[in-house]
Amino acid sequence: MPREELISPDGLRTDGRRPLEVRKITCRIGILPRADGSCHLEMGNTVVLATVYGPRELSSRQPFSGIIRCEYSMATFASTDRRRRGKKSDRTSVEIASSIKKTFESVLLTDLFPHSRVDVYIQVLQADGGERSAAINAVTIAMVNAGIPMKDLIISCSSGYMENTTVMDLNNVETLVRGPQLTLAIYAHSGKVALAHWESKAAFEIFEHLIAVAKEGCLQILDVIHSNIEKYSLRLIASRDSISRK
Amino acid sequence: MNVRGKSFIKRTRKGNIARVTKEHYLRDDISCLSPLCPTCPKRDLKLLSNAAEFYLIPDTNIVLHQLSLLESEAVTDVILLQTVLHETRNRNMSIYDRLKNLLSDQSRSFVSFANEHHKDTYIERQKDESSNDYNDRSIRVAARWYTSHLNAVKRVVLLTDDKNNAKVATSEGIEVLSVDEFVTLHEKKHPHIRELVASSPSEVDETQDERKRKFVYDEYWNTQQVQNALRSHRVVEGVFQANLYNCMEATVSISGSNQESMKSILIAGIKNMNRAIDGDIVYVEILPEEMWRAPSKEVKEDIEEAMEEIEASKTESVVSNSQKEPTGRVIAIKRRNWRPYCGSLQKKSATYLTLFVPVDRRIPKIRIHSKRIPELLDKRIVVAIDNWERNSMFPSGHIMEELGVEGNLETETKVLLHENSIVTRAFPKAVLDCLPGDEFQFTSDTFKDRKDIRNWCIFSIDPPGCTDIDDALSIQLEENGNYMIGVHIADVTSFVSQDSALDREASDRSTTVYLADRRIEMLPARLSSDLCSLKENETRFAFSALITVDSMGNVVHVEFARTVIRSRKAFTYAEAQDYLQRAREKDTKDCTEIELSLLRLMDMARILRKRRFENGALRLSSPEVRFETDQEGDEITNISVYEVLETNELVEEFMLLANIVVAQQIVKSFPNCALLRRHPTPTKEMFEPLLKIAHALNVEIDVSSNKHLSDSLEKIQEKFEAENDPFKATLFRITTTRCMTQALYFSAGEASQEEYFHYGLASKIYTHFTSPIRRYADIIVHRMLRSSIGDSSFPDSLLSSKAIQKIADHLNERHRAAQRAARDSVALHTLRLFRGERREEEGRVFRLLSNGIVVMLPRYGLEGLVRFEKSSAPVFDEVNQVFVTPKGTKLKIFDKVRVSMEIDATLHSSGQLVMQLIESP
Repeated sequence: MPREELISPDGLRTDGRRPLEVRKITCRIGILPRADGSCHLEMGNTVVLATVYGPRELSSRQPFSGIIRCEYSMATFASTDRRRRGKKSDRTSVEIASSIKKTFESVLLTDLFPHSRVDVYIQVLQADGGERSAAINAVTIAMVNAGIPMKDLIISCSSGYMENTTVMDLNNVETLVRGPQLTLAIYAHSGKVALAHWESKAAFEIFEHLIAVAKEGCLQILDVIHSNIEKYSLRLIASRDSISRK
Repeated sequence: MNVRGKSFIKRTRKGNIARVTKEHYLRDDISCLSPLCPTCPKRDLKLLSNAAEFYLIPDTNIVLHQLSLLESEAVTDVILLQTVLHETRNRNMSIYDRLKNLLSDQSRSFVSFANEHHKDTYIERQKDESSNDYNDRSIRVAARWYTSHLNAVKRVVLLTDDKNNAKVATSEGIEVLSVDEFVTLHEKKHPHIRELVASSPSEVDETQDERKRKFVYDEYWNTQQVQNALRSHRVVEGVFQANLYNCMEATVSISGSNQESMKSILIAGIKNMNRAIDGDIVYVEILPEEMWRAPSKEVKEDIEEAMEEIEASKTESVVSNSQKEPTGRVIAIKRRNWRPYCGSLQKKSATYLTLFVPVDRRIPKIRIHSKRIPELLDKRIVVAIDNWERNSMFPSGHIMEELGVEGNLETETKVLLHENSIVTRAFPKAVLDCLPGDEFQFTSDTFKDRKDIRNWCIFSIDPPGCTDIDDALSIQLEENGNYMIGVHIADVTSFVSQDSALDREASDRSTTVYLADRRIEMLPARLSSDLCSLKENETRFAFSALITVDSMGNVVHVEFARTVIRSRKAFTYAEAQDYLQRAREKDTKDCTEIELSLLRLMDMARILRKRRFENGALRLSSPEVRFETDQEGDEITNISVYEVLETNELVEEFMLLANIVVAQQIVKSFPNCALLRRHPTPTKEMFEPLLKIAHALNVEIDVSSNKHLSDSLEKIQEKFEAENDPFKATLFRITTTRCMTQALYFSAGEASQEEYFHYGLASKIYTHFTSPIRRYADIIVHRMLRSSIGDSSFPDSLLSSKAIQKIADHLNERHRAAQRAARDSVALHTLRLFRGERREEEGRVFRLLSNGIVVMLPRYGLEGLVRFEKSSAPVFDEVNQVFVTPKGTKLKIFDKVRVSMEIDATLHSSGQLVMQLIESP
């Protein structure tokens, strides 16, 4: 059986997208009332749930180990083959959690809440490629939902190089090819790079190209997320109006 | 955009059951690609043309079976649906590749339409609908969409031979044509188009009615049966290899077998061969041991004759158990490996139905049905096999292409190129666009970062008439008495960038092919004989290996540099020899720089050569001939055996040295994926025929190591020279060479370090670096070397051992094909020389078969077959390798014989030379 062709003669990818198109994004904001902020984000078939608690002031006995505590875990049922471990202690999960922690620490306005901590929990409910990006995007929205002051939004998107084409927002099939793949997170307004995750080797030109494409993907995702946040905020304002009018 | 989920259950490679969920986006921006459509977007897309009366949508079976029809120039405006492409890809990769070529060819109006992602043509699979029915329905829906989309402007026609599908389609309002109707429409304009139609199985059935009872092959097993049998090891899988000399026999080589005795399985008789053709991957059932047989040593060329013989005798020769080999029969085909075959029609008949005889003797004759048979009788044609029915002794096929009149030099050359699948097309525009423009000059800013050694005394030595000079030499005496030898190789990689169209074309061709009267180049002439060629008194880019050796020939230091050089002189071997001769007579002080360099290089070459042979390198022999052409250079007037001069050996020695030091360097930088070349140490069994001959000739030979082999070959040489018959020694060396396998390219990660060994050269490690103009392997090695000296980075996609091994396999395959083509071309020219006359020549017995001998003609390096008639056949004594004729004369291996041969006007490019024995001394 020949390996699946990733880019068809028409230039379409296996799922019908063109190389420079992101998957369909839907997000539900504030779905967990008990949490300070939460977001259920779907990027195609990748589904993550991010919850944010805090900022909470730490008691003087508790050691201060950074402004954010982040836990990342993948549900056992998230991937097809159930091979990947869902435990939060496995190495990739720890690595992803710590990279997300660092990324967001750079953007929070910590002066406003000294000796406090924000707890972030990320759960991947379904994995279909780009879990790291989806997690970052979900956390951004959950942070907004929690009302934690940030300098900027952080948006992430992956990109990869396969069959002489650079594509953005890889799905699982495309991820499994193991070509040069990049996960990039940028500050939404300044456009600067907040995180770049890169495990393969590639010629410099390809790398540059991958960065440009991933950035482009981030901007597309930003549009969607922005309008979602806006809609949510307008709904909030509307509901407040109705309360105050009573 | 709309999203649908696609979910299905799949069995993973490990055998687990998993649920796979995929997204499926439906789009509204997929263009119909018709220039007549006002609404669809068309920017930068390949469009249909307006030429034809209608657009054609073929279904999957048409694509799979009638591709040569679609490929004909007569067919235009074809829409290939995604469904069709997808199904084709799953069923037959090579057809899919051909489709992709059609799609990318700008001159053919073939377009693809992603119907499964179009919002109006996507359909959900219904419950209980088979995947075939679903695909048929998808195709119909797409055809209907096209019909209504282009309502008034253009007709859209579904091309299908499936009667049920056609019926449903018509009822849905789609215009349908069958292949037959389609061809009838086009026949007026393109009279030959019907020839391209592959016969469908049912058609053959009708014409084969009488044969049905006479000859029937066994039915193939179904997949389930095969799988069960595979698990119980009753059935094995392997590559079917037809026997070149005996059409009734074949072997199947089993790749994954760990049992030594089961490496190859004998298939005897065409019934057991069960419609398998050379190269097919087949399933073989191993027969019970009492039915095992020994491979026959007879020559059988014609199946029909052979069948009659069997009918007549019905007896089987009794063989001893020791000679018996595992025997089996083909029970199913895993994958066909059919390609288009060259050949000509059987002369006997001139009806509409005849047999086609392929040039490749391993391929069976092919049944052809055509109205053009009378006019094609004296032509060379290309035929594709369509199918092979159970009740037909031969497969049936159709004519694809006409190459020209048989026996014509041009035609026969085409045949041999085609048979070895050598790319002969002109370089496409995309490739030529990669070349530097005409304004390109070797100015100083183009070589800023190169070492400028234009003032060095550098020269090249090549065969006369050589325009692609890829190596030049220099030598300098250092103060401490060491020599610095410079091997300067054309820097091809500075013009051929990784993954450019030019690079891909070169990699596809892999090597320049040298025929007796022409060469088919790997790189366009502008590079091969101008920009890259290290011409006399021209500034050129080079990649130099600067090797410092002491006076004993030990390598002290090696440096690699990209340089710019200017060759002082482009010698031919003979000129260099003259120069050398003159320089030797002069006093060293009077010598010019070039003469001095030549002298020093020659001395050093001697030292290196001596060391090499002391290490056990083999002096092997294969007959090489040279053609003398007349003034115009197109008719060959004579042939002679190639003469080797001292200067040939000089160049060879330094090329070997450079290749070895480069191999050492790249394996250091790429321990896992360096592209190397090895020559596997032959096994004991491979030397078996040689030992037999040695025994028959009463000489001793030690094959335990290359050193011992080399020494004993030297001794044998001395012995035969003493007997005043040095040619026997040459024959012996040729036989030795043939016992060994060929040297191979490989990736360093695919073999253990001991296996890097090059047996013939007695070198621990070896690669090819010195001929980048004519070998693609050298280009890769150049890139690796560049990367290892920090000059540029090697592409990561090639950094795995598997990736390099894949390239190496392709290189090996193309290299062998090029060699075969060269050999066939030499044979063709030699035969032309003898054409039409009866000649008597002195020959040597070269191989003994049970019903014939192979005779080699030393003057021409040609081999031919002498077949013995059954009645007067000499008796074969295998132990002593001797034939005893009824008269009592003995015919021993390597004996001198006189043979006569006659070549009729219709000579075959790879046809065998048939000779008659006149007398033996």
